[in-house]
Amino acid sequence: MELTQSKTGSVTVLSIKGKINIETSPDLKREVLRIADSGVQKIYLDFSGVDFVNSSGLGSLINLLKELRKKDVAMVIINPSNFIKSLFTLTHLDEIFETYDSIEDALKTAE
Amino acid sequence: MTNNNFYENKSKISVLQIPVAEDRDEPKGFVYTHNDQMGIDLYRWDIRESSCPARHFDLIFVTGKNADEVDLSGLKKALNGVQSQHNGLIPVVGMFRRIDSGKAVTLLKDIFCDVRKMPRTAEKMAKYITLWLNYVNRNMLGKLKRRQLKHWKEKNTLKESWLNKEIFNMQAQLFRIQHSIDSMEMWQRGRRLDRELKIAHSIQSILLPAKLPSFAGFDFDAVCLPAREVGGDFYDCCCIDENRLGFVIGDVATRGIPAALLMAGIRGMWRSLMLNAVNTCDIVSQINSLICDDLQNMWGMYITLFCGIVDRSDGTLMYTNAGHCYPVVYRKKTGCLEELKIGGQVVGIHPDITYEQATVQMNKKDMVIAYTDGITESHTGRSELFGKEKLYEIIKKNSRHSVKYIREIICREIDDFMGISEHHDDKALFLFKKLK
Repeated sequence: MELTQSKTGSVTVLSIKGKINIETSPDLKREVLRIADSGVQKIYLDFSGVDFVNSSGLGSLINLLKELRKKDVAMVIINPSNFIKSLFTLTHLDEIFETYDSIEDALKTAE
Repeated sequence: MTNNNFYENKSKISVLQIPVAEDRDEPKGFVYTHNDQMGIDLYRWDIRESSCPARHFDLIFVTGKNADEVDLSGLKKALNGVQSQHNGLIPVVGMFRRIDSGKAVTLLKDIFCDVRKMPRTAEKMAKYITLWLNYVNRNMLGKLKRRQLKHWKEKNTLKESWLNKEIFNMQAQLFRIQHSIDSMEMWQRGRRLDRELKIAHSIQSILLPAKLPSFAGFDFDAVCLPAREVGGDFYDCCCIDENRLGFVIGDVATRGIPAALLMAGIRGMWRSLMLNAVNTCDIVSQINSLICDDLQNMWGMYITLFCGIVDRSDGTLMYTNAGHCYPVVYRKKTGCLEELKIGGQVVGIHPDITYEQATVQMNKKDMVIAYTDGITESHTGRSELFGKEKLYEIIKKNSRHSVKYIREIICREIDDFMGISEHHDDKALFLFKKLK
């Protein structure tokens, strides 16, 4: 898994490339929590490059969301694939994850 | 000149002593003392404390506890000033309490004419001084240097060839012993873990029903295949009363021992709740609120559950799907598959979740296939997924067969698909068919 942090205006985007599973989720957790501790209010996770999320990866995303909520930091998922969207629907986690098809859509909603 | 001659002549000899490192104790700077008995004027110069003494010297002594402490470049820089005041070079000799043969060779290859152990008596010191002055007078310092260099080189070779070999052999032996101890400990630990895992595997197998209950009018079959010795996928079923049979299939979202422990807990909860069950949504809601507290500090853990009650009095299936892969009802009459989606969120995230339930009518030869994501998400090294579509195709194609046969064919197809790839996830299947 490759993680790239970038800034779009005042927005912090973490682009993820690869799979989110039991092997890769500790790296993701570490990086997201590091960004959260740097003082941002919202983290945008760009899922354009994520080709697979398994149950362990999904578990990690749920816990990241919970952990960020405790820190008053919002987590937004950008451009998840149809497979990931269907996974969120199946598990009813689309009710707790804020997802958008593009960063522009997410920013529009934020305005 | 002999030792005695030296004393008899009492010729004035000027010696400059340069102490190194630890030997640089008081007095500091440049100090002069005269040894009347030996006829030596001794000038002690701490090169850090004062500048170069402006006078003639017959010999320069570099003294210290250990020859290793000699900083050659610093010493040479300091001596440049002294040497430049003389027409010829002043012989530099070293006297140390400890001398490493390698360092002695280095010093002799540089400005030192001789390197020796510090003499313990004044007589021996006088003998050395006589010897050095003799070499100076006969202009044979080069010979002395070569002789001493040969001596220390031989010592060094001996040290390297014998001592080093010994040390190397001893180190290798020690390493082998340490390695054997480590391997033995690892082996014992591994064996113990292996034994415990085998026990855990047996316990988990006991938790899964060894034989599915016979329930007239329906044919049941199930399998659970953990990716490791133990896993988080499970199924269970039990008769609630003479007409109703409850079943569950679940997946704990992690693998191995943590998943197995959680699975055992969930299965226990489900059993005790199911025996007094009225509906499925209450069972799932109660499991969720019970397990949420336990999972609060467990990173990445949640459970997907599909809980059902089959009622043969009216041929219905009541169910609640808590974020589990959609089980399907195969309709014999139409050949279609219906996904069972009603329920709610996965279990273990939030304690106050309201779950829903739904009831479907089962007709003759209709079949329900429930599975965990290890079935559809089986993937090869090329990341190709087995997929839902392939599973549905197998179900439709083999629908006329018994559930046991269908279970076997699904497992075989997955094995064929996986080839030599490693099975990453646990797998479970629970199937039943209405016979009449």
